[in-house]
Amino acid sequence: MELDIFLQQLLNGLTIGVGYALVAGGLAAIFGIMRIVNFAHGEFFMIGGYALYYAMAVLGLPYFAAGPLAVLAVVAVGYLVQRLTIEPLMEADPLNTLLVTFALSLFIFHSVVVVAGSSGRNIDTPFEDVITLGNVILTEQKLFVMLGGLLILGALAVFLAYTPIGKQMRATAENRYAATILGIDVRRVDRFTFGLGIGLAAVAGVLIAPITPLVPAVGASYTLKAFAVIVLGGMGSIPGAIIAGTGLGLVEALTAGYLSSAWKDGVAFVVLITVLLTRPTGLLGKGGAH
Amino acid sequence: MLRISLALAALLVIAVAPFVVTDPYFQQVMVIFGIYAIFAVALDILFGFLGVHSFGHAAFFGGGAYVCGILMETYGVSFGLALVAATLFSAVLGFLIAIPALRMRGIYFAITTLFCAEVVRLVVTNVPDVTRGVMGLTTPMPSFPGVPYGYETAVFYYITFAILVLACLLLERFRVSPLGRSFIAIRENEQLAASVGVPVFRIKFYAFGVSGGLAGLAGAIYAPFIGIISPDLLSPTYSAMGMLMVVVGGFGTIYGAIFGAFMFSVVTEFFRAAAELRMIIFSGILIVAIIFMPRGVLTPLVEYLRRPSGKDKAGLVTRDEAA
Repeated sequence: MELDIFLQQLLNGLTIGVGYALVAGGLAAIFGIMRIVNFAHGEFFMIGGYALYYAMAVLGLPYFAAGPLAVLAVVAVGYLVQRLTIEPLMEADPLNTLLVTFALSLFIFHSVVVVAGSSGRNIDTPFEDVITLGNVILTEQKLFVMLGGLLILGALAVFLAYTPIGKQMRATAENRYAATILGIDVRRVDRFTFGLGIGLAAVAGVLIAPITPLVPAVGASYTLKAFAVIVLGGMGSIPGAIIAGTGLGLVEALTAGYLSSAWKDGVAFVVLITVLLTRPTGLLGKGGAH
Repeated sequence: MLRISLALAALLVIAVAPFVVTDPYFQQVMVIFGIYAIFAVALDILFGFLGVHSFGHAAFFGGGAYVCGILMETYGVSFGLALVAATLFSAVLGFLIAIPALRMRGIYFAITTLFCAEVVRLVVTNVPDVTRGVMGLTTPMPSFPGVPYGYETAVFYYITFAILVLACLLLERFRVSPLGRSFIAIRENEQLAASVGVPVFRIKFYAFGVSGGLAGLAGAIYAPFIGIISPDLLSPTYSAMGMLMVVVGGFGTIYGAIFGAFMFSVVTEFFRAAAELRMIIFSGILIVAIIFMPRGVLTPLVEYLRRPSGKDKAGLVTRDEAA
């Protein structure tokens, strides 16, 4: 019985952890390559969920058509945001991009509140059935989140390792100036990176929205979690973000299961501040963070 | 002369405003403007004077509001005493947050302050026995002896603006004092400042306490004036609100922060018909301002007024004069 509860929490944690890994992986890519801190990152997760809801409820599309459409729509918004607000500030004081993304997060949040209201939305997917393994319960959607998330993270790893644009991204992350000298169009890399990062957040939104109460405030919560994750994994390290994201999901689920669900959000904050004070380069970081 | 007459004109406007604007709703808007202005000025001490970018100032504003609210509602403490207690509490909270945060730089500092504020919000949300949690805490209207019923808003107005004017006067003196100069030195080049003997950490530490205390005082006036407070007061939205006011108005100018608060509270009242649109409009303005006027709307004017003149040696000594 004890073991069943433990396994149940482990599965719940793994599901949410995959979501954190996707969101934080995108945030880490944006920070590692563009050197900007995107305070609006979680909002793209949130509008991914809402885009899915509207595509299904208003356009009447099935989940498998609405999902990719929602991701595309969010990436298009992200591209516009990057071109209009972030690109003009790339050469300016880093504080300006920090402030602009902070303002963007408010802009997106309050826009969604006005358009959709602050009450929750439910999304029905084709995966409504429940799988029972002994006493452990797993919904099909959770299984789909885990498998889909792992597939996308795997694809991301292959993409970064083998494609030309993936190699250019890694080169830019390594040394922006040297990358420019080698003829890499870093502005193009930036645009692509931002789109990719936002896309990962939107994918997470499309996967997670059906199993979580979808409210506008979920965006800010995911932004904060993603920050904890990328600090933990070493700023800008995508593998670090994925490992730390999954880990945070597990620890939160175990805290909720064994201690108190009201305080589970505090886990991320306490872990973050402790890591920053004791090991500021993150668990997998290379150093030079300060 | 221009500066003195402007200051006198401003004082006169502040003194007579409640007699000219008699509509109760707009009187309330003016008090809110004053409270936000104190909050923005508190943030400007860190942002503008010291170049320390706190992303978690809602912790002090909301913390002050909760301390004042709990003392007045649960323990029946008088308003005046509750104000002092809330200010002290927020100052101490400032010191506590400064200890981990000041060991970080740049974005790490921003993230740490943001998270510290989230921890405070989480605590306030999760101890409903003391704070009523997400239900929100009602705070009683303080009784002002000798003030007839219906004139409480005016009292709040004068308290708020007296604090604001005092803060401006002190900061205006402080700016040209040796300690104020060392603040600017830290903002401009921290290493260089340290190398000429400016105690960087200690100054930042105390500044955090002062800024936190002042923000807490603003929150402490806010709580009984509004009558109900919720943990939302500690959310990043309020930290952002303070930053928006400082950034739109202009860093390190004091008056820029007040102008930002004016924009936020009074100008957006014109969009009252669309109250939900207020934050959208304001965050939109902020985005545009950062891209096109990153130094703030009011900065050129304040710099013009503060230019060193022949008679006034309080201004910075220019290189030509020094030679």
